[in-house]
Amino acid sequence: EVFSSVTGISQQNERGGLTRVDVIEERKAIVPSVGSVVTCRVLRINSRFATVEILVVDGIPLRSVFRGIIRVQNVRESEVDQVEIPKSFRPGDVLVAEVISFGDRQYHYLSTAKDEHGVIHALCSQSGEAMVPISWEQMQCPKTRINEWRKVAKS
Amino acid sequence: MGLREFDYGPLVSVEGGSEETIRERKRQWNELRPLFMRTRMVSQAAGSSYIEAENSKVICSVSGPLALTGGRTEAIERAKISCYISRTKFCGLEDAELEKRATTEYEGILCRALESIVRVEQYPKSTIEVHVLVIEDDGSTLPAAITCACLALADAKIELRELMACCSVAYANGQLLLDPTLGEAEKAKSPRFCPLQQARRGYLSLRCPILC
Repeated sequence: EVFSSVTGISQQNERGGLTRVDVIEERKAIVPSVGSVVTCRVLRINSRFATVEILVVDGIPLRSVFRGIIRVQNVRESEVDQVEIPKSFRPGDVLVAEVISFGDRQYHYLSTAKDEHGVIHALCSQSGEAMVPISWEQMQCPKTRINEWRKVAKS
Repeated sequence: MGLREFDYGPLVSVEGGSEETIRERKRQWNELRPLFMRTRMVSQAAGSSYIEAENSKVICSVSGPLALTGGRTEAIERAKISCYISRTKFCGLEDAELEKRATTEYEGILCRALESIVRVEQYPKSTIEVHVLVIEDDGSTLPAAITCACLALADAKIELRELMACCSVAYANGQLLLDPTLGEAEKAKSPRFCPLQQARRGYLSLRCPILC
């Protein structure tokens, strides 16, 4: 007999002769774990890392905010020694990253090395408009036409 | 003091009491007080529940999983469960000292009981907070708190191995009394708490240290 470890409504699906049993939950209890893809907002930056607050884990909103950092060596895969944090992230940016370790007491360690990870939403520092990605390392403001440096997520 | 294990069916086959035991409202020695339980009582909490056994009323709210606050070295591959028990000023217990002593001990018992049922390895590097408020105390509030906390955790959709119910037993005048009220517990040598886990086949086992 199979027992569920959470309360919810059970749903059974037949697929290829096998029955799959799921529990439909309204809002799952989840925490960031190694390998999960997280959506975060940048809080502050310095020359060594960017501090972010993790908002969504694997598509499920977190019940309380967890904090993480993205260190220079984890921003991208190529030319790692030439990475500059202020040219990759700015406070207020929303980005997608992967959790690579539980890190230290306060922060989870995240990485945006993959092409599909990086900034997905940023505001122009001059006009405040949402910028549009133009390459993997630049975003452009539609109003002022200014290009700003970011580590952009490939969509 | 020895440990005896009882096989406990649906409230009828615990040995150690007699039918002549007179309790308030003609309650049998192995009869629990009428229970009322309900979840989703606190809208702001991740999960909550309320339990009422005649005059014992306990409400429990669960928050989490929350991020660990820095400054503590805890095992990070599992969640930490923090329990806080508080009582209202009008709960009926008068001796403030007794209240204070028992609360810390009760919080420890509650934590250990919940750690055995929560799948803590599913929530690494986080903490689950369980807040219990005893609104009115007429005996057996720790067992009520344990049952209530389990329901609140289930309401919060936190993964559990099993559901847990708990009941206390008092030993007075050579008789066992299940679910003693405050008055009955005071007359007893000392009440013992017996977590009852609902095992896979709906079979409840009762472990209770008895003064022999």
